[in-house]
Amino acid sequence: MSVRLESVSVAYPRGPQVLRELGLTVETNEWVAVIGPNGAGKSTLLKAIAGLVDANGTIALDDTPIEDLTRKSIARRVAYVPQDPTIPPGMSVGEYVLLGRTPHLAYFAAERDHDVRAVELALEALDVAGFGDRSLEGLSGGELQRVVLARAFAQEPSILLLDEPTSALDIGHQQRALEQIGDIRQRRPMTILSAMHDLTLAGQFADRLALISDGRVVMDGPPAHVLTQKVISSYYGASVEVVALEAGGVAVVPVRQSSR
Amino acid sequence: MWIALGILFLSAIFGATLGPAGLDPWQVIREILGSALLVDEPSSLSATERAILWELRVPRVVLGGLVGAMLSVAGASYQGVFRNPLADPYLLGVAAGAGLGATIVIAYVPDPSARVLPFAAFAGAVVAVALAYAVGRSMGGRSPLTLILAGIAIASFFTALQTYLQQRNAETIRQVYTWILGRLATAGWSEVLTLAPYVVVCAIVLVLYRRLLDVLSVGDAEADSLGMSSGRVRLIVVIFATLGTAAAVAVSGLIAFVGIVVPHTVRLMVGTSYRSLIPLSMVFGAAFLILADLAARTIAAPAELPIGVITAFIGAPFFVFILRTSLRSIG
Repeated sequence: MSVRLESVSVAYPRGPQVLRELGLTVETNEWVAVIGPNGAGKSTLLKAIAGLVDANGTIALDDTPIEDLTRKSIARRVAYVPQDPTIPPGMSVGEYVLLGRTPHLAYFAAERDHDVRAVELALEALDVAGFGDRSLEGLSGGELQRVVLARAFAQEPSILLLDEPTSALDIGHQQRALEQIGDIRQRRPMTILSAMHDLTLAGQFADRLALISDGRVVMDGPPAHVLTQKVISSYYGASVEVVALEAGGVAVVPVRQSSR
Repeated sequence: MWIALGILFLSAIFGATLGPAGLDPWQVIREILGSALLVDEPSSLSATERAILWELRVPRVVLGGLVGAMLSVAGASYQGVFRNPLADPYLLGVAAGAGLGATIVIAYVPDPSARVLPFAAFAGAVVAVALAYAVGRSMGGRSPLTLILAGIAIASFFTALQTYLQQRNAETIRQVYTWILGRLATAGWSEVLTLAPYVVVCAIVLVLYRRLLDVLSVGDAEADSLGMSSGRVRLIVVIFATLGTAAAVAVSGLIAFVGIVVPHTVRLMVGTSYRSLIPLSMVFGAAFLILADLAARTIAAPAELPIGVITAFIGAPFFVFILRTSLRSIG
């Protein structure tokens, strides 16, 4: 399923304009990483696609504008994983992942066998198959991240929106989480938009990078095209070196200015 | 669930048999089953005993059960929609609002009928809970304490207004007091019939919404992203929890802490999912209040304690316990 945004603007009530006439197209089964400095509007962009904030302009999923869709039919197509998910105290992993089936259930209906199976599949895909009865509060950061992703996969979305999916994880867990998302995408193709701070990982996992600054897409293209020293220093105000890697791709390395 | 229903059944039998005039439990069970199954069997109870059973004990037990079920399920529902372990119909000011609403009607409407009172109580209760929520939110804080402090402020304010109205309308003061202190003691079948429709309707709605309360526990934005309209669900649940509470307060007066003691005890037993919490709170709430009422009329017999004394005696220490654990989890 493709995502098309045309001149999308979002302003919070009594707040500043966050997105200004933003345009972006993500093709079916493409992985686009949304990058940009803090406050650029990355999170708001993802929320707008999920229909969680009021936006002016056109946001279309496979040419259907989201204002023509009910909340539930958006949720059947789009799964949204916030940066800092709310963890309900005392809830078990199984109960939590089962919440992902909500958009597929009638209002007052209970889950059926195939909902339970979807949950089992999601838990297996994220390598947390035996976790169903454990309490969310007893999980480590890496386990919790996988359980949150399992909830999103149980939703069986065509489009996955990830807001800083790895920000709470160490370097090893970051890598494994992204590899896992990549593996699942191989088996069950889906369109992914992920807001990311780690430019090196963004460049290695996404097909394309969209750089947002001040509510607009200022650059959009393959990682090697976007991740240049000049672009990063002008939009992030950062002093970096961009190093070509033997395995392909680039690494963005911060450089301490006073040592130069 | 069967265990819970069994406990409720036992409490009801205790409630019906124990009292100044002791009745034989087996005879009571046979009498009740006999009339329930329309068996035309000569009763083993004397005419006086039957009158005590059917005109005093049974309506009182049924009413206690209805009030207890309603207050508990309302407490559990408020805790769900406000994502606040401390929410309780009493602490949110709902009960005080209901009291004020009813007082206004008694003071200013000439010859109010008993049927108007629940509506007036409901209107007052809705205003109270909406104010508590708005004030709590305007203070911003994420702590569950903010909402409760706002509720306590609203409750004090409404109680003050109510007292003022009572003083201004001294001629009706007696009527208000009987109503406010209206305990289960004065209960008859007419109170049961007034309250039962409200409790049945509200209980059905809240049971239907129990899965959505689980969805709401991940927060509004995430619940919306799962295809739910969190604002609408919250509104409906608050309306029915408040309507039921107001109706319960209208017949039984202000009974504190039931809405916090029962749901938290159920959570300790079966976990936090609202799917089991809502129905079990209802059953245990009914049993709890029947037993509390039994204690109220036997501990100091032949005198009778107000039932609120019993629930507060158990509930206040329990509330401190919940406060400790929830503050610890906030960190």
